[in-house]
Order: sequence, then structure tokens, then C-alpha cells
Amino acid sequence: MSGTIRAAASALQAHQLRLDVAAHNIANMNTSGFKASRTDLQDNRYLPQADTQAWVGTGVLASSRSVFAQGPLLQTGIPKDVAILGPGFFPVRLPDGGAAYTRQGNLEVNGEGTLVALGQYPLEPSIQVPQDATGLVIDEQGRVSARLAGRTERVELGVLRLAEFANPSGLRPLGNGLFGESETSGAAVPAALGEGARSKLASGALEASTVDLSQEMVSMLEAQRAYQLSARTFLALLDLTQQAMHLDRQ
Amino acid sequence: MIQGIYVAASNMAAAIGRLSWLGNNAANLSTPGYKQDVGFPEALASQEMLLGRGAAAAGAGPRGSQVSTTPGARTRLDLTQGALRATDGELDLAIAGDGFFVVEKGGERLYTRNGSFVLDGERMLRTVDGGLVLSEVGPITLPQGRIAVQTDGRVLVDGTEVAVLAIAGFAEGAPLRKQGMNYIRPAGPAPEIAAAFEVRQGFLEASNVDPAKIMVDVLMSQKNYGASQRSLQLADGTLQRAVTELGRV
Repeated sequence: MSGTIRAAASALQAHQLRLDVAAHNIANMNTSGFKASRTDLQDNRYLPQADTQAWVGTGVLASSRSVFAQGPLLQTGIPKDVAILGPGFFPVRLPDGGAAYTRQGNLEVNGEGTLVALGQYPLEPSIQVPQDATGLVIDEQGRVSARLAGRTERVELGVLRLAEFANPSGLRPLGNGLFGESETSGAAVPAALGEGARSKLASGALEASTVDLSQEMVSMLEAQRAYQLSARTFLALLDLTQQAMHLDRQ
Repeated sequence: MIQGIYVAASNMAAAIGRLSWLGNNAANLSTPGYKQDVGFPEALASQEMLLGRGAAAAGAGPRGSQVSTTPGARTRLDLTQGALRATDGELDLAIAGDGFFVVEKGGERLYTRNGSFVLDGERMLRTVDGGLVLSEVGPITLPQGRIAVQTDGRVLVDGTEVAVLAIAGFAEGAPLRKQGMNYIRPAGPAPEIAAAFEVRQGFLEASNVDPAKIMVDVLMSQKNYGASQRSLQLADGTLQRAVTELGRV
């Protein structure tokens, strides 16, 4: 019987995870570049009963993973905002020198004139923007250009490059819109944005979150219903245990 | 009188036995591709126990069943098709019809109806717990590009056929048992046969558990247990009086 109680308890934990994942997704409905997570459920192992040939299940296991998919475009009209159309990430340099990757393209120029993502992380390779530059524009092949004082034509300041992965869904979320390379994602492969590239940029726009609110609501309702079913089973078992303890009462 | 106690006790054990697999079915209500266990009529098991027929006779159950000497724990695997739920996941696959996806894990050949697949760092197609999904000729590596899975199991990337999913069927009544992690394995000789199926991309097969039925079965088992317990107490009380009072002069 304790095995059955553990099975019911495993279900409560699993469906709680589903609720947590759905809540986290909903909380990030409006986070640019956010990739929604999903939960995977699997039945837990089956154990042979001591005195029989029957196998008894031990419940369910839940795990979650993020799913890489193209998010919809959100037009902002801000020239330094860029969204990636297609696979790939912007590589950035972390303060400790490590590499990270992001899809969030709300780029800015920091105090040292470096083009940064997420307000603080310099893009890799680094692009410098002179202080007197105006009218900065990024085209769909990643070329960053601006007007400098005393020059009539636009000057190209650098070219944005992307990094691609064998399995982007396997990237390790580092928080704040950053992702790190992992064994499941494969190594970062530099990718150019020029002719024949698989991706291009949309400037004046940001990539919106991939969270689908109605799908998350359905997930939550289903998880609640499944939770209730196992909770009911759990209570039935508790009731039986109680009754068994009072068997000697007349 | 004593027989009354045994009948009540075996009914109580049967209720607990039923709750063990009912509970597992309930826990896996939302597990994709899960196939529920269903029970056999209890009377048969209880009678066999009472009449002294042991495990040897009880072991000869119908093909595909799992038999035990604990009444109530006898189950067979219900392979009824579950409903298809749209997920729009590029690597979510569901089988409509017979057959299983074939997976290699730990050197073994396993089968599953859970088609929520993922890629690894080398773009090989795997199950969530790391098994390799097999094509007709071996593991599948997918090049970059748009993945389209046809209803006959062919996998196309950017329009070019890259692999054909292996879908295996089993004869009616073949001895199959669940292993966990959504895998099913043969418990005895079970040769693979061709299956009539359609593979649907962007869908997952829901479990074939009916929550309303489980709820009713759990309640019935609970009441059954309570009633048997009451009857056991009565039998015990009667026996006690017989022993302590009847013989008094």
C-alpha cells in the first residue's frame, strides 16, 4: 500500500511542476525573446510485487525543458531594436570573460561607446560607436552604420554576427534572457548574416515571447484536474489505512 | 465463520490490490501515450484462493495478462487508442492506429506510443530520457531545416527524405508489459509485425485513462473495503462469542 501512496504523491508533485511551469510561462508572456517551457510526463518504473508476478506502477515523473521556436515580431520603431528571423543567437561577452547567447535585440550604446545587449553585455565581436554618431541603423544583414560629423555618406561601424547551435532547445538558461552552451545544445557555430544565410534581422522590431496564453491556461486546467484525481486516490488510500488501524474495534 | 473471515479478508486485500493499479492509472492521466491497466473480475481470483488452488493454477490466465496470487492485482494492458491532442510541436508525433515507435536504449529494443521527441547535441532524434528513436535502418540524425513528418512515417527536412520511422506492431494478445519512462517491452516471445498506422506531426496521444471511471472505481474499492471490514468484524465477533460463551455450562 505504501507504494500506492508514493504513486499518488508522485502525481501531486508532477502536476505541481506543470502548474509552476505554466505560471512561469504566463509571467513571461511579454518578455521579449523569451522561449516558453513545456513539461514532459513519463510513467515511473514498475516494481514486481513480492509474492506475485504482477508489476505495480510507482506513479509519474515530470521534467521540464524550454522549446526553441521563432517568436512573433513586435514592431517598436526604435532603430537599435533588432529581431532575428530564423535560427541563431547574438553572442555576448560576460563580465567574467565567458560567452553567452541571447535573442533579445534591444541594443544600446554603453558609456564606453560599445554596442551592448540587455543593457550591459557587449556583443561579440565588439562594435564601437563613436560619440558623435547619429542615425544609427542596422540592416537585415547585420551591417551597423551611422552618420559621423563631417562626413556625408554613412559609415559602416561593424557587422553583427550570429551563433548557431545543433539543438538550440538544449541551451542552458542563465536568466535575464541569456543562454549558455551545453552538451545538449552542441557547440556554438559562428554564422554570418550575409547572402545565403539562414537568418536575417528585422530592425525596428523585437522578437516577442513564444508563450501562448490560451495554451498555458488549458495546461493549467488539465494539471489541476489531474492533480484532483490523484488527490482523491490519495485520500481513498488514507481512508483505508485509517480503517485498517481500527479493525480491532467492536 | 472462519470462512467468513477469509472471504472478508480476501475482499479487503482485493480492494487494496485494485487501488494499487488504479492509483498508477490515475497518476498517469496526463502522461502521453500511457496505456492503462484494467482488472479482471475478482470473483475468480478469490474463489481460487479459497478452494486451495495455488499459484500454479492461478498462473494460467488469458494471453497477455499478468496474474498474481494477490486477488485484485490481476491486470492486463489496455492498448486502446488515446485521443490525439494538438501541440504544434515540430517534434511531437502521435500514432493513430496500431504500432509503436521503436527506441534503442541501453542496448535493448523498446517500444513506445509517446512521441514527444527531442534532439541532442548532434541532432540525433531521441526520447526525453535519452533513448534513440530508430528508423528502418538505425538511429536518425536530422540536418538543419524544416522538419516534416508524413503520415506514413517518412521524415523530410526541407523537402528531402532523410529517414523513415520504424513503426512496429504486435500480434493480438502478445505478452507486452510496461517498463516505465513510457516504454513497453515484450515479456515473452513477441515478434514484430507490420501495423496499420498514421503518424501525425504536431500531436501527442493522450493517455487512455478515463478519469470518471477511475473516480468511480476508487470509490467502489473504498466502499468495498469498508463493507468487507464491517463483515470481518461481525464474523470475528460471532466467532468470539462461540468460543467464549457457547461452551459455558
